[in-house]
Amino acid sequence: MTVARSNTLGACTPTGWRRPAAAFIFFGALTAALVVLNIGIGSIAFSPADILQTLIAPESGTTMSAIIWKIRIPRAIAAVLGGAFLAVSGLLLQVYFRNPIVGPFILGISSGATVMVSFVMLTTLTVGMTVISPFMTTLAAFIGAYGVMLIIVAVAYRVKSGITLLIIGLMMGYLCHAVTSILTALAEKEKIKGFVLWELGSFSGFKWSEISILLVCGGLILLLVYLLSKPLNAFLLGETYAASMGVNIRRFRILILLCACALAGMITSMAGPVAFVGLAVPHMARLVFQTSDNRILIPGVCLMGALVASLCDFIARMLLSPVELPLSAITAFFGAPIVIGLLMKRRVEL
Amino acid sequence: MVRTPVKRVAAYGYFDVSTLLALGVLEEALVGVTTPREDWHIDAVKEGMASGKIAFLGDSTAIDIERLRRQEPELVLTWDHAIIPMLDELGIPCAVTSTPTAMCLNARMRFVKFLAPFFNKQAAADAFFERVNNALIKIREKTRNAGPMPKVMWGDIYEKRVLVEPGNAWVGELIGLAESDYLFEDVFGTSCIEISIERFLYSGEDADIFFTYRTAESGATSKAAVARMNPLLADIKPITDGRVYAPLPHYSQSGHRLDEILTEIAAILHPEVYPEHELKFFRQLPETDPEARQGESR
Repeated sequence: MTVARSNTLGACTPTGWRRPAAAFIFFGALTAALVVLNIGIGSIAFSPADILQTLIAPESGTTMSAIIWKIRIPRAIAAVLGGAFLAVSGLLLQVYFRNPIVGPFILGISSGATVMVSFVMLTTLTVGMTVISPFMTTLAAFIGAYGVMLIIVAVAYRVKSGITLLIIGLMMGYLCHAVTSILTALAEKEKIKGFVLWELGSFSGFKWSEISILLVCGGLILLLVYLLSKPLNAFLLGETYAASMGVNIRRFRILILLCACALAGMITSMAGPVAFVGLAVPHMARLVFQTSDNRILIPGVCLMGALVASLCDFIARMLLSPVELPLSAITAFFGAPIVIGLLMKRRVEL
Repeated sequence: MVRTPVKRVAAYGYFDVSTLLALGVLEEALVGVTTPREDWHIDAVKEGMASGKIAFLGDSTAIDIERLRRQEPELVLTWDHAIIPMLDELGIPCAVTSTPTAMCLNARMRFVKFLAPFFNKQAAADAFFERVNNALIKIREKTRNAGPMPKVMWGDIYEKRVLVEPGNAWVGELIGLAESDYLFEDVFGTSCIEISIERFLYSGEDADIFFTYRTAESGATSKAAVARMNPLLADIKPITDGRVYAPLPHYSQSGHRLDEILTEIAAILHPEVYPEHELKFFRQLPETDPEARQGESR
């Protein structure tokens, strides 16, 4: 394992801060502009004055107010938070496994969510459960994602080797995929359409209650992750080094896994699987911020994740508006070439 | 090479099977289907499966080749290109019908003419085509001077997403032909397609009628049930103040009654010119589910 080219860990001199600071300002402004764009532009055109009026003094009961306040704003925030959470989750797992091609879904989190959603959408298990039906898919995905996460964490307690854990995660993914495939093969055709739609991922339809959960729970986890940035830096230099610095390796490993899985699981349960953000964005952030120092990289990855997810969501919404394109297709379209390019040029290492 | 008339045929899709019925060859020629017996609403297919003449060949994505071989079809009607090499190996000719992507009304009407030569039933195909064409002419005549144009949406609501029937689909064409306003006319696609929720909500603001794809079995039991699927869309006009229709279970297997389906849709759009019409393929959803109403009355 090597450290990125220009900076050594924990050696941010005043001159060394300039580049990250400039990058934070530039990409922060870009992200803010995209959020404004995501709120201002949609398949229904409103004048900027009307939008401003609705933002300042929303009139309840009007369609415009509902579109701005119940559809566009929650979606724009969901894209920001979703991108940030997935990217941080990917970063944590890349550090944990010391493997640059690991993403948040490598441990079977999305497969766990998918298998539970397939139970809800492709079988008749939930027929008659009308009281909780609007939240059934989200709830099922939540149970699936966190169910797999608990299994992985339980395994991590017993298994020391990261590679073994990685393989067990992959196997969990295959198992879940097998169950999903069987359910899909046996399902009625009209039910498959909705399931396929969920599998493609989207920030569409986020509710304020979900945004609140993301802000509170996700915010706390992000804060915790940031507080772990120093031990993460030590971990990056090897477990022996980290242990010599006073890091309780076993507890620390479990904590990283819990945070990574919780962040990815939260987004997957609400938006469905969103591909590539968690895998590609940490590499993009390393390239932009030219450092492996997690004190810079964690907020940097948050920002880049928010930017990429907002941009991809904008493209998915607007390219063929009012038709929506699958978000995961757009993120993969973006992410795959970037990762290939970076790895081919070997400009990014952990 | 296919020898005609084909005496034994296996068919993947509902539309293929109902077209065989329209041609009058189903009972004698159909030997295999990809839907189990309990899901069929066509009596001839149910009876054929009960007697063992028609076999369930397995799901369309996992055909039981042994069973297919045992049925000795002279032709397989399929949309699945992946099965072609296997059929080639077995020496069974196939026709890729792509009926699920037959979007426009013209293709739906003429599909019977595509299948007819396999069974030497061109006359039956012409008669079917004429019947549907006459139904369309009648619809146009009857609705020409009908009342105000109803605004119509056709799609499906999920927890966070919406799908609609694009404007180039046969339903969009029919709605236009029946002096009605299809609100997703500008949407283009090769099958039902996802659009933004805001567009669905905006169009729903002044729609009069909403056709959902969902049957009662998949949750469309009442307007309240449809509203519960996505609370954001609970206030669209068809749900609060208009009409919502869901297909009955046999609707998707009734391609041989296309003329009646088209007439029924026209009757739903303009009940004032079809006062005697009784619904056969769709069900108008009540405000609430029967259990909820019973609870209220108690």
